[in-house]
Amino acid sequence: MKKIESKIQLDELIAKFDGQKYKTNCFLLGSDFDNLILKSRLFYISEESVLFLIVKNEHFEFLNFYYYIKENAGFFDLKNDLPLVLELPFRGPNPPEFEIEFLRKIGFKEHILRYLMGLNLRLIEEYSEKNVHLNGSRIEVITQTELSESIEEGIKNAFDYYTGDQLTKDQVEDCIKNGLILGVFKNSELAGFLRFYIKNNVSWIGHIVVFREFSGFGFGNLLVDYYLNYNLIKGIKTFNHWVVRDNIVAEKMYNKFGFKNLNKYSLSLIKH
Amino acid sequence: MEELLKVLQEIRPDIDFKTEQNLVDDGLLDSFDIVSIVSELNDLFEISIRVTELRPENFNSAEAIYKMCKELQAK
Repeated sequence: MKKIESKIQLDELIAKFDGQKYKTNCFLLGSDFDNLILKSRLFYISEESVLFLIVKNEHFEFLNFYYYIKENAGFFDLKNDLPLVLELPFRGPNPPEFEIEFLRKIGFKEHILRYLMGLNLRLIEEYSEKNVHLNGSRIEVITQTELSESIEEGIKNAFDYYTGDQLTKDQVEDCIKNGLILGVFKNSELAGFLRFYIKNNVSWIGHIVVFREFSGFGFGNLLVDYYLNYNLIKGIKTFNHWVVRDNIVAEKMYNKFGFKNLNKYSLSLIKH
Repeated sequence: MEELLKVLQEIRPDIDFKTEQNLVDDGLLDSFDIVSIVSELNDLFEISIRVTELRPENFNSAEAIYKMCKELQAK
């Protein structure tokens, strides 16, 4: 595994696929690569019919994996010390067979299938809240950084280690400082939270968690409702997030708010 | 240009590529779409769009995409 030192070097590595039929799961843009190269986090393995780009995770014990594979690529003996994690994006509902077969051959196993749900309210001037605040509960933007530990723990317990966008306590604190976590409180106790971020005028739900002892009160609905209204007031009208397939409860909840399956899927695979 | 619009429309039939001018900045296209589009453009224009070209401004409108492809063809 060798380090990539510049974007020109990266272009040269990819150039061997010019004019050839190949498959890739690399959906990073130029600016993403700039950051990774700057932070010395981008590595590669290059052979005649394959190019693997490997990204070191800054905080967790695994590597993100991107591939370029020619259609005639055969077996490749891939060795790794840390787990390799990849996301294979595709338009649904069936994942691309050639890539899955190749990845299985080199030791990857299917992990979690997610799909993208979206809501576009570009034509709506005003959003009317769909829920009434429940007695004894309140919802607000979290400002207390002392809650970061509970939030970090909540994410750790509710989301997958490899593909659930785990956050460190410091990262949670940054989100709080930037006003990107909404909390629902029952009798002054944090009952749940929703973390979001905004990229290119689209608001994405990063995590939504209702703590076990508070489930069944409708707090998930309350959070989503507040979240939509909060962002609409700021002029954000497009909302997206990834949902684990077969999470019927989540799907039903989002459907209620008008979210639809956008026919974009992402299958994660892991090689330990 | 007509062929390009056809390709774009096949990938994202829900977008009006003739009028939209902020496809990336307004979040209508994400990196997932861009990768799909790049693959189609490479075949359609017989070019190789490099990582260095994968900048939002090159994908904000059908005209910008077309301009980038024509420039690459001329190289």
